[in-house]
Amino acid sequence: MLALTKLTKRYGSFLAVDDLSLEVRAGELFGFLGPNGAGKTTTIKMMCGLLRPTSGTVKIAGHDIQKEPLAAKAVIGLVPDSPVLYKKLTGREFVRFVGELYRVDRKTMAKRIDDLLKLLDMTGSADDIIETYSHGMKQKTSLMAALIHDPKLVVLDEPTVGLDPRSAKIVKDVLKALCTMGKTVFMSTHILEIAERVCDRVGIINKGKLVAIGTIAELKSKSGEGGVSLEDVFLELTGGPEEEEVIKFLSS
Amino acid sequence: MSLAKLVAYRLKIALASLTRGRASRRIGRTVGIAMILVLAVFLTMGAYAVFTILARMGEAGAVTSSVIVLLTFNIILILALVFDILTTTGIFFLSSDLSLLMAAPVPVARVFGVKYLEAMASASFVSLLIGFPVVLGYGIALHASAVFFIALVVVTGVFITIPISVGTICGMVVSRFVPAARVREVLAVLSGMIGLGIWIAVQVFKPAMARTSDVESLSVRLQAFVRGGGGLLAKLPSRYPAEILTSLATGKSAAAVRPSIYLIALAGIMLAASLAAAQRMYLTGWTRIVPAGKRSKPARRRERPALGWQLVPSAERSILRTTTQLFLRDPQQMMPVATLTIMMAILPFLMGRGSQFGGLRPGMIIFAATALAFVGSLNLAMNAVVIDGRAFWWLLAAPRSSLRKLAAKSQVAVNFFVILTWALLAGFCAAHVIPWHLALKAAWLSAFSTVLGAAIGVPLGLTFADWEWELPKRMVKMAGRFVLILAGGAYIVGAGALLGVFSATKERVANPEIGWLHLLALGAGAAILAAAALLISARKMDKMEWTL
Repeated sequence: MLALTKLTKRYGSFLAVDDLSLEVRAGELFGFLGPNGAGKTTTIKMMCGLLRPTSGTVKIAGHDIQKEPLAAKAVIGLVPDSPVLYKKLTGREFVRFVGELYRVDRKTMAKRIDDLLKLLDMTGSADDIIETYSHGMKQKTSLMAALIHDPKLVVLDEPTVGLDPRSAKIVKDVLKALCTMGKTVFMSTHILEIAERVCDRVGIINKGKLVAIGTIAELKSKSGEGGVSLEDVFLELTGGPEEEEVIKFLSS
Repeated sequence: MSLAKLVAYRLKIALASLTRGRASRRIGRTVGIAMILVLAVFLTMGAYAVFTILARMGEAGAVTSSVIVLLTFNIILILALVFDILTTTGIFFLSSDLSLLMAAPVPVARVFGVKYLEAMASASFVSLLIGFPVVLGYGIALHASAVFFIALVVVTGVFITIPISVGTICGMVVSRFVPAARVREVLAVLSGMIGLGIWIAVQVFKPAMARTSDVESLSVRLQAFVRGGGGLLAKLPSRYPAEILTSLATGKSAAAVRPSIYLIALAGIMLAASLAAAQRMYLTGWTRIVPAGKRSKPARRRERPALGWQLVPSAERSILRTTTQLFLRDPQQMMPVATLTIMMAILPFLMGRGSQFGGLRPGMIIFAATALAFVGSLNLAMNAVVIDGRAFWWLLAAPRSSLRKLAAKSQVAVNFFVILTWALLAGFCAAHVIPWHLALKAAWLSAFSTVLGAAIGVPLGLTFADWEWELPKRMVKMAGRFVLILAGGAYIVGAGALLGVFSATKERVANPEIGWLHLLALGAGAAILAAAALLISARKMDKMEWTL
């Protein structure tokens, strides 16, 4: 469903993403982990056609995002890290707007909007203007907009940031449900507990390079020690000792 | 933290915003400041020239000068009030630093104090830029003593607290009843209406001035104007600074004492009233900053679009509708558009009603309509592209061709300005004697000018967009605004030259057949240029990288 091949993005002398290759199969829930500034958002933006790679290719359902942008974009639903929406529209109007951009027919759209509003517990505020929404409500509106055209690949950049526990649980359940329906989910997060619970496979990126990829069990076994958590693996691969020193300093 | 320290920090931040940042921005700001200074110098020189002429004309000239000074202070008063009403809510209730200041152990009265000074600087800038040089020119023309120039600074400073205090009190009272984010919208409408009132007054006043052939009748008219409406203009607090400064300029210092007392007393009362209002209302008003915009009822959900809409593909229809909604729902976007619309609706009826061509040359009607259509649609199309702000990425991510997306954006400007210019022409036809073929030609050309302006506005919008804009006036970078002025100027010069050549031969104007051939060629040329501009912008959008 998703294939990144030797993907590289360079800003002047700064290498944001370095020769990254990975594949995500249909129906898989893939977790993309990495510390702040590791290159997660840059990778996602290249996947969705918002940034042009310096080199390498992105294929979505067989379509190269550079050569066939319209066909590739039509199968993606993106939920960005910060929910940037049209604040003067209502939630319902906004989701409808996005649906029309993706050419969802009217009858299907009306039903899907109602279903998504119910699913994400947003029915009561659907006709309020977005500028009145909390961060979590905006995040949920963003998710609804990404799902309105029933995409084959859902790409989420830090989807649970700012959500209350109940909403975060709903989002996790929705992601799992999407995978059981055969959709592919690519999710970046730095909340390791979420990745550990819901992801089929994870990839860890650090300083633009993919440093590990596999199932949680595979990554733990590669670490070599028994009883390690994903957090331990993550810290080991992305510079854990510095964090441990900081914690020691703060507790001293 | 003391008030002085808070003010010092605020000044430091303001200075940093001028001196730091990207080189292009710093250069832009420097050029802007230089232009403002040049304008002030020109205004002073102009005022000096006028007052020098009036000074040579004896009593009538002296009376006229004093009335002009009074009117200048009236303008300062009204403009400062309008601007304060517009900015007060933003500064007092919605500034980004307020959360920090209110959370810090700083008394609310001090926060109010620093915000009051901020509002004073912000709201009085334009009025002082216009008014101060006029009065300065007056003093220089009359060879006033140094006391006059010192008094000018002091009196203006004291006087400006009156409109600022009134505006501040208004803002705080309204914020008791309306959520702060809505206050700005309510007050924007109010100040827009005041601004429109001023514009209409000027339009009424200007022809009377223009018909004045000598200073004596000008003086009589000016005085009559000031006395008009029950002498309201002469009774406003502006009379005090005017009286003080005219007395000092003419060497009658004793006559300045009484108005000085009145001015200081009134300014003190207003300042005390605004402080008292702040003590009672500021904190509670600020804490009422609840999100605005709850729709009173759900938007009507139309299952099927209207008949004409069905012809437009859904994505383009959606972009067109949403962009229009974004304009209509933001009063700050809507105000200039609404003001322009009302001005255009009134304009034909203010110009020598019933006269041949409304007192204009025939070519001027075509020229005015096409220039308005081009410049207006150019500006609106630029804004229509940038109005999405950071949410523009939704359009980039959508699986539709960039050409179609941008064509829908430019259509917003086309729709609005075709309707506006045709309404303007209809108004001219209703109010004046205008041959039908001339009106039709103007309508034809204005439609193509609108299409051309809107199409050129799109690539300019993409090039000069500031996607992270917070205020509508910052949607387009300064360089973009400069290019907009250049493009408008180039069009006006080009179209003026073309139409000048066209209307030089009266035979051609009188003969519709020849005229239409020219117009067909002009229309085709405009359509080709518009298509080219849209194709260029589509390529630009395809290459865009979204780093926000």
